[in-house]
Amino acid sequence: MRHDRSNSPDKREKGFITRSGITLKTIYGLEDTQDIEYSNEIGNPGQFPYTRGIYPGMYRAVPWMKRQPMGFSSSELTAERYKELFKKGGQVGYKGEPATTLLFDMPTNYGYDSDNPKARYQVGTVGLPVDHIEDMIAFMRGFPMDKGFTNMVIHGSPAILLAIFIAAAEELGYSPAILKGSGKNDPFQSYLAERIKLLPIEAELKLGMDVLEYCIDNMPAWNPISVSGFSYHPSGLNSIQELGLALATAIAYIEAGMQRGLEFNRFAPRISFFLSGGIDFLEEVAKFRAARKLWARIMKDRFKASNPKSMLFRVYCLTLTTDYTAQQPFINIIRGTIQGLAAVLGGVQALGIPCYDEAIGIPTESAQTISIRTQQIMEEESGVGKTVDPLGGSWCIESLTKEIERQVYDYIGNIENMGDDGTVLKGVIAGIKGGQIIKDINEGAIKRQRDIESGETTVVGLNKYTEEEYVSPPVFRTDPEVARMKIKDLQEFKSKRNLREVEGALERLRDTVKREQNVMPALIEAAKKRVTLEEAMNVFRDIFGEGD
Amino acid sequence: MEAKRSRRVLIASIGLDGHELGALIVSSALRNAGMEVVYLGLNQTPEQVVEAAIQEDVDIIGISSMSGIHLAALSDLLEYLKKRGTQGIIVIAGGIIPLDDIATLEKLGVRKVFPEGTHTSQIIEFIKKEIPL
Repeated sequence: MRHDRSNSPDKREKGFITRSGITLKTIYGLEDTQDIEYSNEIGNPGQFPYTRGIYPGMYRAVPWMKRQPMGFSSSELTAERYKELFKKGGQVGYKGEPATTLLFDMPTNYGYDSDNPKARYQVGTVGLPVDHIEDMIAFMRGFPMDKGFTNMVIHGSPAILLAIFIAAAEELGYSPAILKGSGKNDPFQSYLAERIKLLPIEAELKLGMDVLEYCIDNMPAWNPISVSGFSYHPSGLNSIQELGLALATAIAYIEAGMQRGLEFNRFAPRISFFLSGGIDFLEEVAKFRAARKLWARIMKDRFKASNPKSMLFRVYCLTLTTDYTAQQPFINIIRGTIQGLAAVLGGVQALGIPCYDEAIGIPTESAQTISIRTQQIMEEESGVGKTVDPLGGSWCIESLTKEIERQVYDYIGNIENMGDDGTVLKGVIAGIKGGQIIKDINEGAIKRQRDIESGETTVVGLNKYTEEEYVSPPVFRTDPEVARMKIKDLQEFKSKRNLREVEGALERLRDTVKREQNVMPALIEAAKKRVTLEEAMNVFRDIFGEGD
Repeated sequence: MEAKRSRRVLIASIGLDGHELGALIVSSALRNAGMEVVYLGLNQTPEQVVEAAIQEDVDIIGISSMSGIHLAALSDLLEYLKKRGTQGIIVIAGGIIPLDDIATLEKLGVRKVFPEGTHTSQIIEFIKKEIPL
């Protein structure tokens, strides 16, 4: 074993900075926080501005949800894996009920059916393939929709996927009104982070608002927009920028909703967030505290929110996979633990810890188990949840919280300035179309790589303390035969359905789009008539045009 | 035909996948090292990659694979390269590729695999050695 010394000059000469670039003092003390007025700027948990926690009792009253992202090969295999994880005490909601985060395969995210030539190689490889209602029904047969919480991470076709989900639930006898969960529905993120641009951004936004409107009226237990900051971080932004962009896009969606005529107090409380949890422990704790304070203030000052529920920053944290290494992969378990602990001390509502083999492939069941046990030990052995916001009052943490808040306000202001009418909505759209936001993200990625290669950023096992030979953990492989079966089943499905009903449903959908009405009822009906995801998406492609 | 004055590399990602990060980073590093990079981008088929490589007269095809499709996609790519009679073009690959698969890929004809965590200087050195000017 060799000890490599990284090439960076002695850090003591360069100063001590956090991953997002905040310079840390040698020591923080009373003088750093004496100007902070407790009741206005921090507040008790459950009190505006919610810095210490969105609820008074936090984990003393309700534990955080434990949701590992999962999905691969087929609905049956995914449901089976979910059941195994639930048996181990993982995949649980606030009351121990089943909860899951579902990932979909690339063809589904791109609005293609499994038998499209473009879907070659990708059927079921990184998520669940959903071509039509029966795929969703097959998953739901293994998951109790009346009790469980379903979080769906879908990129290019959120309206269609949600419609298929609702149609499937209804066919199984569940009312949409009881369905609990959240769906990504974040077209700005699809454009900027996933780089999936199926329709023009205005069309995607319109469909997103259709989902929002439909859910306000029909699905009170569903979070119709889960603003997904997470992927901005692997794409190139740091934690503070990620939070800034997430909040900016959230503001933009609210502005869009209000422009659409939706009632603010009806939809604002249902917006939730999905953020990364990084490795820079102190900064991450402060980040989540700052996020709560920022959101509460934005809702109150910018939107004049009166309902306290509109001001609560509810967040699912997935710890950051780009902090992981493919080298010496078992040490990623330590990283996940540090990241997860920061998120818990930061007061998140739900947590997922990607598995140690994430840098090699999608996880094995045993790797998932370790992530689940990590959370269980945090919850039941470490004791950190027994009192609320235990790091509150730390001179360092309060200073960092305040500094992050300041930087995020600046970031949002920059986005706002990209537009020309004072709305953040215009700013986000201008920033996307003009390429500025993507340029910043890409430059962040290149700089991050440069810092690792120069040794400026130490990554244990990668540029320091490397091993000549390292152990390859078991690699999870999806079975190509299952993908072949999926395609065959799909072709059979398409030939067996009532084509007149399919055509009729597509015609109704076309008509609805052309009349600029809410597409959800027509999409749900189409799903029930066995229209496929791609067929529905093609209606949108034909009428709206392609993205980018 | 006049001698090429710089090395030409085509960078692409096969199949539906928006994870562009690695491909962008490598493209940037190769350009900084004085190479000409044709960045074909995301969502390509093996056939599209090979046709573009021929048209652009590149020395090297670099494939980024971030969602576990490397074995199937690269096998198809190399087969199509052979069919087109352009085996002179060197194929390299990088991304999320397990150690266990590297030997298989090399046996298929991938000249070198640069998995997650590779230092871009390794790729540059390799290309300089493979394509002397």
